[in-house]
Formats: sequence, structure tokens, C-alpha cells
Amino acid sequence: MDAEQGSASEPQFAVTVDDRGDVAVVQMSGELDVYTAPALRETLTEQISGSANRVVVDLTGLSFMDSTGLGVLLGTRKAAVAVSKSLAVVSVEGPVMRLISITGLEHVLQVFATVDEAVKPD
Amino acid sequence: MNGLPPVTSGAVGSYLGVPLVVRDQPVGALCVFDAEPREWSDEDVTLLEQLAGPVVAELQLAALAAEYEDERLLWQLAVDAAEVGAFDWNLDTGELRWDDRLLGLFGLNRETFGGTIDSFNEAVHPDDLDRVTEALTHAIETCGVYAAEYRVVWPDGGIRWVAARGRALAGPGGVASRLLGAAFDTTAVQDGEARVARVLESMPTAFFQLDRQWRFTYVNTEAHRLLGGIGREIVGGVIWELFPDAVGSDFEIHYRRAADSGRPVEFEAYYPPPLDAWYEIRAWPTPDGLSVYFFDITDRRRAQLAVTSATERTGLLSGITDALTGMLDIEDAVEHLAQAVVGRWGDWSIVTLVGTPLPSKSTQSFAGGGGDPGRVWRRGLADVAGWHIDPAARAMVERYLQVRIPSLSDRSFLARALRENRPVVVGEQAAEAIAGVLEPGEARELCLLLAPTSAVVVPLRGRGRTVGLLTVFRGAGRPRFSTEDIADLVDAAARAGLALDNSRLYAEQRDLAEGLQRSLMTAPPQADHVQVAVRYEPAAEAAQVGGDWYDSFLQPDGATSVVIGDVVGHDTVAAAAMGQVRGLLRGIAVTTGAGPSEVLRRVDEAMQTLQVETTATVVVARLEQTEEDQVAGTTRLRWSNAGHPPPLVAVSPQAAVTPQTATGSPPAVERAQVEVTALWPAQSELLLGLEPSFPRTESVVTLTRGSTLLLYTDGLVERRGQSVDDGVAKLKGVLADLLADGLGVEEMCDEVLARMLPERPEDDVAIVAVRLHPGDRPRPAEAGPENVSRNVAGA
Repeated sequence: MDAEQGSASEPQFAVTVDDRGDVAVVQMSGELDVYTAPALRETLTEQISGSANRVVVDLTGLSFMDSTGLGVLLGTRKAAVAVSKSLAVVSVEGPVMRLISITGLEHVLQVFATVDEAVKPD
Repeated sequence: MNGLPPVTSGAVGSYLGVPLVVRDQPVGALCVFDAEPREWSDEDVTLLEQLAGPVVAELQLAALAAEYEDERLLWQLAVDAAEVGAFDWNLDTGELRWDDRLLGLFGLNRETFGGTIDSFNEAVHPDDLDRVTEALTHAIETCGVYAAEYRVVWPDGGIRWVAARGRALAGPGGVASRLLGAAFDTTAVQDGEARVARVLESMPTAFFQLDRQWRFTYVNTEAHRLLGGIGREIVGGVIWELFPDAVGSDFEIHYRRAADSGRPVEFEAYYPPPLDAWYEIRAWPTPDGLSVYFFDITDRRRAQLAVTSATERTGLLSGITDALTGMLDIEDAVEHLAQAVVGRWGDWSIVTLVGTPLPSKSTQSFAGGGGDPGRVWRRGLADVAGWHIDPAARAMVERYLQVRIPSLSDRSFLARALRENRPVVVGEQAAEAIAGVLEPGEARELCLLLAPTSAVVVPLRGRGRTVGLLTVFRGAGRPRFSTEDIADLVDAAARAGLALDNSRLYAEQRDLAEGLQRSLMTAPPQADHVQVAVRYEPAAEAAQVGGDWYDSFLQPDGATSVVIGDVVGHDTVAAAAMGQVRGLLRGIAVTTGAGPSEVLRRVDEAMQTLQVETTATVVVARLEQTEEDQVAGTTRLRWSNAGHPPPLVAVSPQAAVTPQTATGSPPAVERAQVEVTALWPAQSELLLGLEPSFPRTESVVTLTRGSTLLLYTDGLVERRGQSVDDGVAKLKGVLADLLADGLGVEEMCDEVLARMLPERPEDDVAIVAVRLHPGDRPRPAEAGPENVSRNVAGA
């Protein structure tokens, strides 16, 4: 499922899902903020309630993420825990990773450097 | 002659020839010859010459006879082909002779034909007989030409058309004695024409013909039906006299153009009453004049106009919605609405809002109704916008807006529309009617001056409540409001009502969010040696407001605590959650007197227990002074950070002062070098609201008098395209500059915001700045009065 959101003044934000059966890899590009977060939230909610047991969220395509994005990740983590599914995040050094580390979220989110590493079961 | 065979063969011995001459032209020769040669005598020649004359005559006669015969044959063929019959009427004897063909034309034969003019008269169709007899008589009397076309009734009753031509010949007395002529059958032609005429007659399309003098020569049934409205005979009349409104109109222009150019024209035109209809017309010139056929297209035209009008109306209505939806500012929206309805729907308008807290032109004049129950309906009503199609009258409408509402009686149309929640129409004499519901005074005067003839008051409905009213007035010269007009205004009012409701909700929500935030921000306590300054700057977009907070309080042991926090998320939900967390934190801190990390841990647990469904980044910092610290002039800063950007600390600048010079000029102060440190943790600790069991630590740093501490939220340092680290580095630089300039802490806060924030901040910003002053000196004046509660140690 593809979701695109953006306006004349904001760059495009796009989310794609790579369904690999037991693992769903959600990838995105653009800026994740208060305007585009709903699209991501919708996609992640769908995947958590879908057939995959592990959802991998690849943030490497993002050029920007603020606390709204964090809120979406945390909300997804909570939903995953509630249905005994696992959530993993892919992120590399950069502003997005900095946000994750400043908030201490690397302590509660599984963060990997690549999608390949992230899709392996716990 | 010598070469001719009779000569060479010897058959001719002697020859005598004389020329045959006709009109001086030799045409041949008359000759005699003998086999034996002989002498020709003079008498022989003379005799031959005399014989030549009659021979010529005979030849001529023969030639003429032959010619005659040829012509006669030709003529006979022609007559046969045309099937022309001939007659010969002896006027003296009365005998009428017909040839076989003519008999055939009349369906008679030699036996049945009587041979006199009576037989002819009997055969001619009774309706045509007079006409034919007159033609015959005329020809006889004038010895002239006879021509007639008439119907013939056969013995078996069949009817044929016959065309006859003839000539009367005078006798010796100069009077006509004979009438000769020919006749032929024209039934086919006549039938054909009759058929065409029948078609024209029964055609559903109107058709008429005009002659060169613009006179109607033929008008078919349908044309009679469509044009009969003039109530006069059409055929024979001149078009310009019968239809005077056509003169100078498109009708005349096109007809004359067709007639002059010889080319057909096609056009649509309207003819006023008594016809009052639209027509589509085709006219083409004929040798005899002009032929025209036309359709009545009034219905089609009206339908087209209705569609155009409907499209226009829909366009105007949706234009109102589009414009109003784009206007979040209510003042703009109501101005636009007032103007949008003027023109098409009315001459002037007034927009009234209900229960508006927004500043409007007439709230000053509105008395509020006091305790008079009869006037309760007008409480909160305000005329906020108005417009007039005539610029000269706009000032009057403006004034009317200011004085109208207080002067309205309870019987007013406005009150009725509000009460009944449906449109109220004042169909006619509106000025008098409205003046009748206004108390005597300026409003009534203005109403009579503005002189509306009709008016409509329509409620503006938002979601489940009336937002206001729209009044549209029409002046003299405009027809009353039609059902369609009122329907349009109700539609426009519905759209406008929703749009205005949205604008209001938006404004309210933004105000609410900011109000909520601000209400939670209390003035910081001011302990003796510490000056605390706080700032809160909401995001530019209403959607982004909410979530950031600052706090500062004294714990029971007298230590000043400062807190900076940021709930993840925005809007009013975040603001409410923030309020809970803030309250929990200060409550726990003040009750337990615990250190920063312990406070955070307990808050985290309480959030879980109380099911506060939110996460928040927080820094709790406590300024502690033991007795040793007091003596040393130092203060210890103890803090714990749950996922928040690092606090900044600036050590007191040491200004280098150069000694006075001998000339006594004031000492020069070198601009101090200020060192600003960002208190990054060795290891980030988790934000609150996820895992209360997460181990938390706290750190301590010693600050000297005059040092500055700055706590802030990420809105100050987070920007698209750069990381938080970049923002923090910039902030460090700004702080260093400001402190080097020796700014007091309040001024410093303002400057920090001014230099760090963009024109339209995307996120809220909260900052807490703390300046440590020397404890053993009196509190500096710029720090303001001390503000500490009674049960805090040291108070």
C-alpha cells in the first residue's frame, strides 16, 4: 500500500510496505512531521494488526523527524507489545538517530543499522 | 463544258443554255441540246429565255413547298411531343372545331363533342368557368391574345388541368371572326404544385413568403399559429406594418441582407409582446421575393438561460464557500460575505453575529439589555459587517450598523428570524416596515434614508447553533425576492454559517490552547540568591500549540528547583497531559523533597499507576547550597535528564579591568570571554512514560556566583535540515555573545528568542534561565523582589 502526503509548501512524504510474509518492512522518504505523521501511523497500525509478526520501520529514507514521529514510533511499539509482536527500527547516524538517542529511545527500541539485520527474528 | 462526259462521249452535238436567275443570283441553267450539231437561231434563244422565267418560278415554288413540308413536319413533331391540341372557333357561325388531341384532353370523342362553345363551357370546371369566359371575351373584344389555365371535368368525373393559348383573328369588318388556339394538359404540374402546397401547409415548421414589396404572399398554417398573436390578417399585409417591432431590429437587418446579397441568412431573435417569443429563422431570397421558415425556440432559450443562471448561481455560491473557508479571520470572512451577496441578490447587506467575543463595530453601543427580559434575545448580537452597491451609501450603512441593534424592538424581523430559525421576508415597503420596528432615533432615520423596498433576513447556521444572521436589502427599481433568490440566500447562509463556525472554532481552539498553556505557567518564586526568568512562546500554527512547559519551585529545604519539559505531541490533548505531568512532578518534588533523579523516577511510576497515557522529556535541576558553598560563594547544580536536550551553563565572566591612566579617564573593560557548556549526559536516559523501572542518574556541577543556567525545549534548537547538535552549538554561541554583553537575565531571555526563533515558529518554545547572584550581598535591584512561600526553610 502506498500512501503519499504533502502540500505545495512541504516536500513529499511517501510510505511503502514490503510484505515479506512473517516480516513487514515499512520504508519511507521525505519529512515526518505533524502533517505527514498520520499517514505513517495508519500504515503501521495496519501492519501491526496484519499477518506479520515483526514490523521493521526503516527510517533511513527520512530527511527530517521531530517528536511527532517519535510519538508514532512509541504508539506503534505499545500496540505491538499489546499483540505480542515485535518492532524494530532501522536508522543510521544523522539527525533522526540523534533524536532517538537524546530521548534515550535506543534503550527501548531495537535499532539496527540495516534492514537485513533488522528482519532477523529476535 | 468540254470536259463533261456527255460532251466527250459525243452524245451532245449542239447546246443552248440560258441562266436561271433569282434576285440577280444565278441559281442554275436551263439548256437544250441535240445530238446533231445545229445552228441556234435568235428565236430559239428568246424562247428559251422566256421559258426560264416560269422555270424559276416553279423551282421557287418547289423549294418553298419542300421547306414548308419540313417545317410542318417539325411542327407536327413538336405538337405531338407536347401533346398539344388545337381548336378553331368560327365566331360568326359558332362552329368550334377540335382536333383529336384536344378532344382527348377533354375526355371526349367525335360523338360526345357537340362542336359548339357550349360543349366547351360544359366541360370547364364550374369554379373556373367565369375566369375562362372572361379571358375569351377579352381576347375577342380586343382581337388579341387569349391565355387561360383551368380545370376540365371529364364525363367520368375526373379532373384535369388544361393550359390554353390562342389568338382572335379579325374578319373583313375589323371585328374578330375567328379564335384559333392550342391547349395542353398541365395536370401533373398542377398536382405537383398542389402537393407542394399541401406539404407546406401541413409542415410543423412555420413558413411564409414575401414578395419584393415585403408583402406576405403565402403563410402556412403553422406560421399563422405562431404569428396570429397580432390579431390581424397576415396575407397581403406588409411585414413592417404588421410587425412594427421588427423594424430596425435583427429581423429587418437580416431580411434585407438576404434580399440584397442574394444569399440565405440564419439567425435567432426575440420579438416582444404580443408575441413575446424567441425564434430561430432561416430566410433565403427567391426570384419573387423572400422565403422564410422559422421555429419558436422560447422554451429552449429559457432552459438555456436557466442553466446559465443556475451555473452562475452555483458558481457564486461555491465562490462564497471557497472564499470564506480560506478565511480563518472572522473579520475578513464577514466582510467578504457582506460583499458577496450584494449585486446579484441585493443592493445592500448586513452581517450580524451571535455571541461573539471578538471586537466588532457595535459592541460599544450595545447596552447588553440589562435586566429587561424582553431584550435578552439581542444579548451578544452584533452587526459586524455591511456593504452597499452604491459607494456613496456605504458610510450610511456603516453608521446604521452601529446604531441598529440597540434600537430594534422585540417585534423586529431580526428577532423573529432568530426565534423561528428560518428566513423572514419583507416583500414590499420594507423601509416602512423596518422603521416600524425601530425605536425613534438615528437608526430609524437611516433606515428611511436607505429606503429598502424589500428585505430578507436569513439565519447563519453553524454546527448545531446559530452563528449569526444575514440581511439582504433591495432598493427601488428591483423586483421582489423570488423563491429562487431566497433559496439561494438560504444556501449561501448555510455555507457561510459553517465557514464562520469553523473560523470561530479555530480561533477559540487556538486561544484555548494558548490560554491553557499560559494558565499552567505560574510566576517563578524568587529566592534570595537566585533570579529566575521564564518565557513561553507558542507555535505559529494552532495545531502545534501545546506540550511544552517550564516550572520553578522551592522544595521544603529551601533549594530552588527548575524544570523544563516537553510532552510528545501537540494540540490540546498534549496540553492537558502536560498539565497532569507538571502537576505530578511539582507535587512529588515538594512532598518528598527528593533529588532530581528520584523525582523523575517517582513521576514515571505515578504516570504508569495513574495511567497518564503520554511520554515526556524532562530536565529537573536543583540548586543546592551547603554552608560551605555559602562561604565559598558557590552553588551546586544537581540535575537529572530524561531524554531532553542538554541544559546550558555559562560560568560568570571575568572581566579584566585595566588600571586607571594618569589622565583620569574611566577604566576600559575588556569584553569578557564567556565559556558556555552544554551538559550532555554520558549516556542518554529514557524519556518519561515508557518504563518506570529504567535506572536514572543525576549529576552535579559547581557554579560560581554570577553564573547563568539555561533550560529550554527542543523548539529552540530543532530545525529541518540540521541536527539538534547544530542547534545547541548555535545556542551556545548566542548565549556567549549575550552574556559577554553583560545582559541581565530577563533581557537575555528575550534576545535568545529573538535570535534563535524563525519568523513563524513551527514548535512551541519554553525557556527557564537562572542567574546566580552573590548571596552575601543584597539582592540586586534588577532581580526584583524576593518571592518565597512561608513554609520553605529560610523564609
